Amino acid sequence: MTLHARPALLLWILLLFVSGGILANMTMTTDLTALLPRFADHRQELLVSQLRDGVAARLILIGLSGAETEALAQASRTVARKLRDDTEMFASVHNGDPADFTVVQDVLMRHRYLMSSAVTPEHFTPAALREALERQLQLLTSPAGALTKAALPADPTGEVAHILSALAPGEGPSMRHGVWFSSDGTRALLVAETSAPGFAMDEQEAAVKAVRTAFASSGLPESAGLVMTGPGVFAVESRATIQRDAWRLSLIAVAIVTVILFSVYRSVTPLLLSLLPVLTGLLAGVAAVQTWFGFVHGITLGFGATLIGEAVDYPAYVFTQAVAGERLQQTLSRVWPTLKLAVLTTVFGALSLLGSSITGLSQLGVLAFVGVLVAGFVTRWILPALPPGVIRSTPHQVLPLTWLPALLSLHRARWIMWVAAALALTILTLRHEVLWDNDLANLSPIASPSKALDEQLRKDLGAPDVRYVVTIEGASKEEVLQRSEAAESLLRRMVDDGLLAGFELPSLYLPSDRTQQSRQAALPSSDVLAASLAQTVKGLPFREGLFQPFLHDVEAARMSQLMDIVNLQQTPFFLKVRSLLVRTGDAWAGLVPLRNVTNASALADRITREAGPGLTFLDLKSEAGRLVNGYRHESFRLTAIGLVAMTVLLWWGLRDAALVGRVLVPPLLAILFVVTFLTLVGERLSLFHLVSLLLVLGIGLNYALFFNRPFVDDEEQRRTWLSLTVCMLATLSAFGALAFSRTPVLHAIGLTVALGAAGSLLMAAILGRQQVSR
Amino acid sequence: MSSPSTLAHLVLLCSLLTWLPAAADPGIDAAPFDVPGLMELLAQVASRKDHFTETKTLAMLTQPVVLKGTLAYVRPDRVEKHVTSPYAEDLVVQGDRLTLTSAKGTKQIAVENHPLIRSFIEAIRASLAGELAVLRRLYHIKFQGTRRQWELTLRPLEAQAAEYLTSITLRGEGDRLTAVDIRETGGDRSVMEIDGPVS
Repeated sequence: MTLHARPALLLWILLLFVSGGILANMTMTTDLTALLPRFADHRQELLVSQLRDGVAARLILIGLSGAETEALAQASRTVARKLRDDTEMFASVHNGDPADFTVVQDVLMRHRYLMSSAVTPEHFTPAALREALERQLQLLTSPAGALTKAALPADPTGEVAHILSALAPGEGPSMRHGVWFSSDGTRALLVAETSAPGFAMDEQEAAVKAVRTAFASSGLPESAGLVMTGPGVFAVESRATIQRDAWRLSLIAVAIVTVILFSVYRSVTPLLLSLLPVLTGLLAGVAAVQTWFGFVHGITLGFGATLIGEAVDYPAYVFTQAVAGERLQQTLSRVWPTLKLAVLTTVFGALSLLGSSITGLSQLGVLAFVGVLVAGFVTRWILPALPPGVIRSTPHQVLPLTWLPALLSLHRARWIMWVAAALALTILTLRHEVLWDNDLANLSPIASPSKALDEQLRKDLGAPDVRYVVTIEGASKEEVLQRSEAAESLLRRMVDDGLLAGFELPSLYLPSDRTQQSRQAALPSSDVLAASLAQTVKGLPFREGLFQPFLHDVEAARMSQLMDIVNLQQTPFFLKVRSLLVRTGDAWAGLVPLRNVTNASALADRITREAGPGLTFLDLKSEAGRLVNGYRHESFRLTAIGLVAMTVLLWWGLRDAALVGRVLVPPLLAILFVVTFLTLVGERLSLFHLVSLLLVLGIGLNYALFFNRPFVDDEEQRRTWLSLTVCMLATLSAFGALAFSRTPVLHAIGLTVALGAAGSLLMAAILGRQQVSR
Repeated sequence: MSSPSTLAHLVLLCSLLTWLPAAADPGIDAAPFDVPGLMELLAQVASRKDHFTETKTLAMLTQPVVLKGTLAYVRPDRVEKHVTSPYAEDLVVQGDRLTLTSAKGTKQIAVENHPLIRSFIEAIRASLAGELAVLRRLYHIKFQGTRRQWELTLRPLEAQAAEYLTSITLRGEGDRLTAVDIRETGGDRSVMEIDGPVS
């Protein structure tokens, strides 16, 4: 052990302690808002709040099938009752049972004169009353009369029916035996709304489990099946799949890498030591992110671990270069100049990410910057300070290394590479429109059969697709509600014109105070109303005093307090209003989900031209696309800056423009070819691919640096080939295993990195030149 | 809709059919007549269209309301009730779709979604179609009378329908429906007398 190793060791131990201490109090978040640009516009904020808190994000759509219709209907009731009992977990559960409709009817009945748009002064004149009563008489004698007559004495003007027809103009889902069914009658349908937001994974998982438990005890036969969809369900499922996949594939990868490294080192110690730099780097990197930002985002952790993956290679470059009997310190003194550049290029690349205005990217930058720097430090100063310190035997050359010299002979044919590169560029230019995947939904790794099932259930239930909304902005709740009321007639006209099938408005559930007051003012006093009624009833066969409850209720409504959101509690409208009417900072926003939009551009056009102030048409899908786009452009810009920084650094380290070119070009070419290949096999590039490509750049630069390293003798040249072969095989097997994952994320990362690593070494060999050092 | 002459042919044919076995067995009136027998008899009529007079006696009203119009049936699943007086209203059921047309406009609903309305409709439709299985699924059935004069009483089994509807009694003579008597749980009652075929 050298003397200056002691302070290094102490520093390392201190670092481990401090990082560990910070991580013990780490704040992990999966909240999407953390990923927003710091200067996000209000649309993006709204988008994220919808993804996060929106009712759509909390829904679990449930289907029961595989038994007799009657048994399924019974099970639907049992499941609904069990879930409703868990009031902490579920805000509401609906299965179409008329029993829960009575609650709605009660609330509407209570507030009908404030909620009904039919209430005007003219509504209660003798002429209007006469018309209403004649209509009621006709209704009474029709088959529907049996249903409506109970409400007649209190509500002869039919306000409840009027409100309901405005709220639910459609028919709703099909019914069998009193509960919702798919239109073909094979599947009983329920909708559960969780109390927890869609991104709260543990709560969502518990909710999914509760549904399964309720289903298991619903008394259905073995043959019966349960399906569930919804954002929360998908998130839970994909988390489980990723964990399962990642665990299984990691084991395979670790096994393969262990076999490779062990067959080379023939000793366990260097194997274990190999893990130190990357683990210390990850620990310190995450601790740095926590200290800098106050929280660590889940995505940062996932991507960051990938990004500093190249640090696994650092010890390998050292151990494979060792000569029997020499101290690791001596090996390092030979390798370090090159390894230093390998570490610093990545550090400089990460440096550019630090400046990002997108929190997610700058976190990634900090993690990679600190992580790689620390990994380099551990490789350089800690590994040699730890026992054994002395390499007992030369790494075993079990691997056939002649393939690299063989590639070198291809050097003369390198013009083929340039032709291929030109071809690849042409292909990418031609296909640039389909190159990127802008669908935010595809970032969530849902398998497509689940998506199809979700669409089917949504269609059966008539649930709105969550793509198009109109937003209403205002300074206060009252202003938003007034604007919502003003928007109603335009929306109705557009429905009549066939631009969309339907819509919801916050003001349909909760009229503005101004409107409520004007309705109250329109209600006649009891004397006047009684007189009008007496005049109206003359000649009609209604029993004397039948409408006493009507007189009483109108008088009560005249004197009542205005209604507010709390009055809707215990009805499905309560959560609806809260999701349609949201507070954004010190302002308010209303959301108008649109159903079955047939012509989005015409709709957008008319809203811009005809709608009042504060209304904006929003295509959530394209907004999400813009968000992803913003991420991509920002990371491109920063990577370009990083590339310039790397070039400067390489020139500083190598002092040879031609050599810098030979180091930089191979990984860039490899990236070009990988991207072209992925495009040709039909993959669309996502953020996952992009981050993987950053890793490829880091790894590829290291390959090229070592490949172009001057050597003293044949023995050293062979050792370099060994280093590169070992590193490449390790990366190829570890990430190649991931490429076989069914999870889109893991598959994307695995495939990109495995191809990129192999390609980089190939390019480095073909384009590189090995020279004897003078 | 069949022309009057075809209808007349049909009626003739049907009466011949009912008369034929009678020739073989002189004791027809004495022979036991039951629900399956009635169903078989009714199922032989492909279509019918009759005038009706419906008298509704409701607790909320001081005097009964009398509706007049026509009731038509076409095998297997079309029922039309046209009210002509005191107001005009057309109710057409085709399969699962119920279409209600009045001066206010047209409204469509799925019968399957409304147990009560289905109970009203199926009592008439399934009876005239002779679909005993459907009747058994929806109602408790009571039958009395003879082929010449029978009475079929249906009580809804479904809870939601039973909440409002006590019974629907169909009365008839041979394959002819003569009256539909609906009793609701609150004591309200509607008696529809079939006056005779539309000529």
